[in-house]
Amino acid sequence: MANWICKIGKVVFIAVAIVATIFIIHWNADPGFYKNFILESNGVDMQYKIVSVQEVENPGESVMISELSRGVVLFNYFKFLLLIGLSYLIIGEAQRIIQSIKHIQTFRQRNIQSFQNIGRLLVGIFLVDMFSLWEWAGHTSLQVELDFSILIAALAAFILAEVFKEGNQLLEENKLTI
Amino acid sequence: MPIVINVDVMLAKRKMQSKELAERIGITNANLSILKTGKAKAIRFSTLEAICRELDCQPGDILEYKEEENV
Repeated sequence: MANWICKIGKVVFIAVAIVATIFIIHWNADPGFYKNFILESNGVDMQYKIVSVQEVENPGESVMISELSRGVVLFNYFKFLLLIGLSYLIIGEAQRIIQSIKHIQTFRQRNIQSFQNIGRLLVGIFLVDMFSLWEWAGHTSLQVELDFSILIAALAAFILAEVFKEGNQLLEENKLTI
Repeated sequence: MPIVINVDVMLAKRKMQSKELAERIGITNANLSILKTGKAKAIRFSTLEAICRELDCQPGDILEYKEEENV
């Protein structure tokens, strides 16, 4: 079951990355196509949604997608791709761990490295996700946001690596117990 | 390691092959080899009992303590 979730997750990530790339290429080639769509903020925090011109509720808190600056769009696109890529790698490591558990090789050395890699990748996601660049009402804003829940998840991964290290040592000792 | 395993000595006295002893006590030849070469970290009482039974000896005939010399 867990393995299937990982496989589906990987497919979804790839699909989302492809869709985002197609959107960027199309937006670059024909920004006028999006003239009827607006990026609207809820006015409280950096939460956005895409709505049609007729549905916009807060005109002062919105910007037309066709008028977004290239720099902002590309920044967010590459940030998004980086987050998708890091998440994809995390899923890959999780899949390796699940496969080894299925083959009753739970405490092998590779799983310790997998947990450590997951921890490092989560730290990477924390650093990438920290910065947000948006343009609003004629000015560009760079926001720094610290999501400590990602760091706590990274800490949990490093702790699991230590637990599996201990398990690996017990396994090795057990192999040498006649 | 201060604990020395003298299975080879007892095998020679009883004129038995390692392979035969391994089969009789239910462990692999590789595991018996680990025991004989001193690489084992621990031995189960059940294994020690089986070795003593098959070689008709006491645990003290198999296990010997030799203090390590500090250089």
